[in-house]
Amino acid sequence: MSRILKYSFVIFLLLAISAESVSLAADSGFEYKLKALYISRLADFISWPQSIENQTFKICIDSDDEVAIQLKKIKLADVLNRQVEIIAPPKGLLLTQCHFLYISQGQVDSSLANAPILTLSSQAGFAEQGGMIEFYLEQSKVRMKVNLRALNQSSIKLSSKLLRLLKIVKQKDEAND
Amino acid sequence: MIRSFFRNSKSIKNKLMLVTSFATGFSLFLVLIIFIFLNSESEWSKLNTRQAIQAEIIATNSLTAIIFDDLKAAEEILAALKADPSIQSAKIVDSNSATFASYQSANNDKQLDETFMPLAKWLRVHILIKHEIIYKEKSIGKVHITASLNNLYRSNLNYVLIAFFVSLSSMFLTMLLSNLLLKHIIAPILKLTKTTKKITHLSSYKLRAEILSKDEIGDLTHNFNEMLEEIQRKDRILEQTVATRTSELIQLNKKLQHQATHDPLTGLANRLLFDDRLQRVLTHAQRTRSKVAVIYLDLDHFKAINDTLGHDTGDELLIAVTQRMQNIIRDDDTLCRIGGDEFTVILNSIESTSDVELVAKKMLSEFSEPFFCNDHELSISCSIGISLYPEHSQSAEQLKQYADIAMYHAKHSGRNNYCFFIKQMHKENVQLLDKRVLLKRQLKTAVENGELKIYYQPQVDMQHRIIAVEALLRWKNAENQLVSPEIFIPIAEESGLIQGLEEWAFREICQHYAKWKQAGLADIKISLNISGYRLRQQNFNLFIEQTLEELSLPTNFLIFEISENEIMQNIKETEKVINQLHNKGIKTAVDHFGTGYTSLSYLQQLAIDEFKIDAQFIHPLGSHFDDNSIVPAIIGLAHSLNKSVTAMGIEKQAQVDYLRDLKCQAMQGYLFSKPMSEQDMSQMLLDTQYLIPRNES
Repeated sequence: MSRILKYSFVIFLLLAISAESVSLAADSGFEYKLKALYISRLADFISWPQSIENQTFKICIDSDDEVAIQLKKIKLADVLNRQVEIIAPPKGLLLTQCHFLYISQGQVDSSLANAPILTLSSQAGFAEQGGMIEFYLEQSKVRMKVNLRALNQSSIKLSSKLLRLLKIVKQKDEAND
Repeated sequence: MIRSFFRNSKSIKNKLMLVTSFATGFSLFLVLIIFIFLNSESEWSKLNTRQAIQAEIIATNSLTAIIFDDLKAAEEILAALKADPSIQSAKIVDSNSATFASYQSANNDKQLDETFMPLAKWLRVHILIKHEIIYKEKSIGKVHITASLNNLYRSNLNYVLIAFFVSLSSMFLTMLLSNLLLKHIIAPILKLTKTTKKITHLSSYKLRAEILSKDEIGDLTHNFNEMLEEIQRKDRILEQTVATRTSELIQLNKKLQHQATHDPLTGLANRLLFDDRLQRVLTHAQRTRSKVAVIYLDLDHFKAINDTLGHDTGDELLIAVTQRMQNIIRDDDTLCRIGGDEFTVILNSIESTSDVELVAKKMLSEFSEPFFCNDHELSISCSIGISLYPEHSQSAEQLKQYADIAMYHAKHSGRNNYCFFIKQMHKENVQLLDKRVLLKRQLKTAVENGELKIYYQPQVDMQHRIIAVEALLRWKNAENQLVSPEIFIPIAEESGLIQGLEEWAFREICQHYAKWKQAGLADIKISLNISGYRLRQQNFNLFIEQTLEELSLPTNFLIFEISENEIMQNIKETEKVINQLHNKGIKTAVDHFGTGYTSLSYLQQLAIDEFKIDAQFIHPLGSHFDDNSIVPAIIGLAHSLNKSVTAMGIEKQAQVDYLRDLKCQAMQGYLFSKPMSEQDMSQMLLDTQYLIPRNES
């Protein structure tokens, strides 16, 4: 009962913030919707190096991912208060132009280790394996894990307000060390 | 309580101490309370600010928790409030006011219902802070913090208690201090009080209070001393005045006492002092078994002197009598004047009755020499009554009464006499007195009861023609006894009834005459007796005029008879009155002519019309004619003075004959007619046509 209430509250909240009409979907759809929303919110609590701070905000995501589909429904420009591009992750150096990189499948390319790109994924163990933020479900709620080492290697900084909410995990190989 | 304290407490010091310490304590308490209140205000606003800051921190911190729907994180943030014990509860609500996360203080289980919050806030029981959670310029929720003010109030209560105890102790301290200081202020007052008490106690205004301070109390003491000075001065004056007044009063009292106990004319003891002296003398006599005599002395015919020669002469005579009496008696005997002409003497410690007799004789002999008063030579006698203690009585009252009775007895037995009391006298006197008292009482109602009547006796000329009638007063009392005028006239005179009686008689006579006049008997004359004293009164003359006027009567039918003695008693006044009567046309006659001592020179001057020869001179006529030379002399005198003569008391024809020879003009007596009533008289006059038939032998 309370859970339903809480969901309905979150939906309400979404409506309130974005003034966007979101049609009610099935449970799985709702999860993606939340993830998309969280992605859009995260930008507010993350700071990028000066060089890319004011550029067109680029979210790199496989276009066939459910999250990408939901993201496109959100008027991101309004939410983020600047131009937003959702692009399919390109190959090679161009990746460095992304602010967010949502990886649907696979590891983070080690070449991007120091790049100012916030890597996200819903894959279990993503953060432990070098990813920065990992979505996971806890009691039917979407939660996030963070790998501070990965974060510290890049020049991206998280707001303490955000950090407070994140579950901090250690990198696996680190744990092995 | 406080009022009764201030009224009943006898010490100013205590009152001042109470006032000072109370004022100190109260003001201190007030200051502390204000301070506590201000402090509380500041604490309250501080708490408000702190809670506002905390609310802001929470709002900022919880922003992400809301955005990312992280209840746990939100609760963690709220749990940080645990550090502030004043915070009772806190919660984060969303934009729909639904609670997102809440915090409840562990140490305070009281939680207010939302509805009472504004009231609690207004009453300052709680602080309620609300802070908006803003995300992208929009409110996404609120932080509510409810802070309890319990701690503030608790500390305030503590402060109040401290303030109370501080005030109390300061009151106590003030009391101690003022006790020490007030001693110096109160001391002069106490000193002044002591002095006033001393003044009251000693009743001395000579004392002065010592001035111990230069303040208002010093002034008061100074003024008090000045007041004392004034009082002392006034007291002195008052005492002097009182002393003067007292001595004046004593003198006045003495004078009054003397006046009350002494006769102002002669300076002798009066009846009051006489009673007192007699009582004392008797008491003394009882103790010493000695004898006392009480002497009553009454001047004979003193009233006549007073009436004729005036009261001044009477008074002088009394003084002269007093002087002569004082020469006789011993120094320790008491001479008193107890009434008009009544004197008493108390002779104490007498040896025998003969001593008293000697004194009485001496007294009588003192009267043998005439007195010279107011250019008058007065020969007067006195009557003396004597009672003796203890022979006659032991009571003062009775002794007085007995002496009085004896004195009356002496008077009755020919005056110029003294008389010892004997028991028989008492009985007689009682009878006599009773009769007089009875007659006096009867006389009062005699006129009303018609007991008094006017009778008339005719006077005839030598041809037995009735020329006049003499009006005579007849009294037949209730017991149908005829009372002689010789008895009731003196009683009427004594009791003051005489004036009414005379006026009644005059009016009656006038009415009778008015009747006769109508019946054709206008030419009859009526003679009536008038006392000279009464005649001299102006109102009597007025009465006569009024009565005559009322009845429309002339004056010429009246003949007023005045006795010879009365004419001579006040010759000048009488002359005036007789002249007045003469001018009015009223004739006058000298009654009882020959019995008094008429000065012939006066007789000549007086406008008298007629002499009436007293019956005592007529009575012997016809038996021893040669023995009597008075009647011819009187008639001769009358003729020579050109007055007519009426002889009274004619009973025998021989008397008529004798008088005819002497050329007497008129006669009156039983020989011609007895006195008779008005009806009989008028009938007789009408029947006889004034002529009484001769009865010659």
